[in-house]
Amino acid sequence: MSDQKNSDPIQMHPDEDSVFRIHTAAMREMEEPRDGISPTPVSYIITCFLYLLCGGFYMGYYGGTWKGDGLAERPIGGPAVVAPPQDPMKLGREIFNSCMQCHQESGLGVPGSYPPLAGSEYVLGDKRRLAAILMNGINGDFVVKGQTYNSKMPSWAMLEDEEIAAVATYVRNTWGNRADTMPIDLVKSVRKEVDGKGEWKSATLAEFAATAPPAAAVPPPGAPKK
Amino acid sequence: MAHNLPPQLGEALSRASMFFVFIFIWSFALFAGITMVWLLAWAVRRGEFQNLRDASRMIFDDGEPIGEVTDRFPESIKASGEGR
Amino acid sequence: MNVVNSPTEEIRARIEADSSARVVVTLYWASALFWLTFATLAGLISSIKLHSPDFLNYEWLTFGRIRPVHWDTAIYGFGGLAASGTLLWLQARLCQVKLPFRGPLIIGGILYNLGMVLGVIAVLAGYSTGVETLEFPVWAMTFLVLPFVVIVIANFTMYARKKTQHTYVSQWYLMAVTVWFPVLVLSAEACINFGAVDGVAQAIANWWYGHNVVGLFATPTGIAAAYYLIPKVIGKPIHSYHLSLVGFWTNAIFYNWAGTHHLTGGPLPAWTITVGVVGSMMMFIPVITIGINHHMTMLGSFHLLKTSPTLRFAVMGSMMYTVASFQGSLEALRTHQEVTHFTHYTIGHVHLGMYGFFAPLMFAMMYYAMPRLMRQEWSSARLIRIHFWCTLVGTALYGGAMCFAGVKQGLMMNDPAIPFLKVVEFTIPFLQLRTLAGLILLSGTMAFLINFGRMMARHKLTFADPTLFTSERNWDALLEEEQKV
Repeated sequence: MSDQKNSDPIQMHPDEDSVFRIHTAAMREMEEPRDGISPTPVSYIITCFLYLLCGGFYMGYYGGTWKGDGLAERPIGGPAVVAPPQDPMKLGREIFNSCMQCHQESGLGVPGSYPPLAGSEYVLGDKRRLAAILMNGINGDFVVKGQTYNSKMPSWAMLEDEEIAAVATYVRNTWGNRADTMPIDLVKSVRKEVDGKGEWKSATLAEFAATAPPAAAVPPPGAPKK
Repeated sequence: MAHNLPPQLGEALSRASMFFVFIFIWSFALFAGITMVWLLAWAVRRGEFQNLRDASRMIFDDGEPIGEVTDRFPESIKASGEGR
Repeated sequence: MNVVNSPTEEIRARIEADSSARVVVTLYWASALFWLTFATLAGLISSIKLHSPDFLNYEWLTFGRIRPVHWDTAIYGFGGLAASGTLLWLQARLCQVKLPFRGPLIIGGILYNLGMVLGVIAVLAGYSTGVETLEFPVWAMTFLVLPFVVIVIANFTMYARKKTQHTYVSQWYLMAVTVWFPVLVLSAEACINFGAVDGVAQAIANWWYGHNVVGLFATPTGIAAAYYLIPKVIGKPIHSYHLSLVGFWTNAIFYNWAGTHHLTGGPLPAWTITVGVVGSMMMFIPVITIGINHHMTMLGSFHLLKTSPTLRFAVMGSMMYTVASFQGSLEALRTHQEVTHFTHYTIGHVHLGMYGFFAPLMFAMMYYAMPRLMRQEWSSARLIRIHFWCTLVGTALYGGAMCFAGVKQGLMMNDPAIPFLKVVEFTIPFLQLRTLAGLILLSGTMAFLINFGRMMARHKLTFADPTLFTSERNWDALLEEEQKV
């Protein structure tokens, strides 16, 4: 502020200040002593930086995997160093948000369009078959609780094994459903088994459920009605 | 259109087109970035960030100086005649 | 203050700039007003259809066709032409040069209008591309993009020839717009309608474009107008030139990221949406900066709102900029979207932005510039007042009704116990209120149209009457000077 450094283009404030001091008398005469160059307050700059920091934190926290296929906002699982086992019901509820569009929050589906999950034999029955449905999706006529549905369910194979197990456990234990949990290992083995089989039709799924039952499979309470 | 092609050819085509899209996007981004930095340097060299006081006053001139209100409802001019 | 005896260089340059821009800018603004009326009518029809579905039940006027026409004519027809006119006039004035390429610019304006007509007919006839904001077929869009080549060249030519030593903050915005808009359109068309990308990436490109065409085209032009008009009308320099530069650069950096917040909940990689949310939230920095700057500039001059029509619209616009931007930033948050996404809230927000912020600033620009271009005063102060109050009341009613209905609608839709039809029934009175708001806005537009039309019709009749601007008492001298040039 003290000396004039005309050579340095960055040091503009001293020049402007000195110009002001010289012209103070003239300035007083003007109707509006505003200079148009009120500098940016330091507190403002600090606030902006703190705010940017918050933005960076949010971006890191909800960035998911930062990959093209990372659909979850929060990284799930992560390095297996201390990863505490997640409550499958909680995780399943989170994943279920994606299922809600069709099967509805009530688990009742949309009559005539999307089958219910509450009380569904496919949900409560063979866990291996349930995992297979989640893995490859369904296309075509399907009978659930005596009603025929002609709709399409996409494949959810992009989810992690843990997530598929969790959402299966969740739908098996909500809306009055009561059944045992879906083991992650079973999902893992089913993923290998169904790879390349494509979307299920009613018949192909029944065939899959009937053949080659691994050790973990449980006999279904009611056979598929077709 | 691509659905009718043999799958391998279709895949190769889409890979090739993605390659060009990437080249385009990245070269454009690079071009835009370099231009931005160059413009900023140019503006600094030209003294655009010095003497902001004059810059903030460049919209006024002797005909419409600071302190002069330059807009009003049509009738209020007639009412007040020449006065401001 | 000081009576100027001989016109100085600056004054002469200003008058020259005005008279050189007369034909071009009037053409752009007159057609902008035509498209505004058209867009308002189309919006009104779409609005009525939502509560009375049998209204005008023709194939060409189905909701899926008339609503895109409403938005496209609003953003390209009104927005594009009003902004282009503003850009050319302001740049000529601020550079203190004559408007170059007047012939090509006029041809460009005609081509642009032709493109609009073709696009509207194509969409109404069912040849829409189905991509929001890019509904016009590519061949119609070509007519909209070509004139921009001339506008961009004219803009940079003026800047290269400028006689002033400094660059005013409005010029930063105007030059940025001319770079951003063509890049936006070309990239979006390449990605979507020429199929450079597929599937989800198309949706990202679409909303990147859809958000940016408002944020990097309409918004900067509006802010440029506010930065010029507010200080110019009240006769005080802007509060802080430092802050205005901070506002410009942060706006330039952050706005571009915000588009993906439209796709929250969609099957996108999580990070794209997170980036969109952060980009939107970071917009608080330029918004608050610009808000503070405009408010501090106005401080102590609010009494002028009574007497200046330009200032009324400009202040309304810049205040609504703060309001609508705050609303928009918060709207991007995931928790907020759980309620308001896919409800009328979003529609309310868009109109607060476009008709509360952008349109009033364009009106302010026209109210300020038209008398200077046409050399005559507006014929009726009452019509200006009607226009202002219709704009204010209509926008407030529209935004209020839609935002309130949207929040309630979202809460009801999130409650699985409420059947969907009940939610629809709940919104009907608000949809009717919206039609009322649309009618109010339309009457305001009509008032402006009458005033504008009268000015065009009486052009040159009151030419010699020097009642105009108290600041230019030596009007005759200036005119003589100009005729010599």
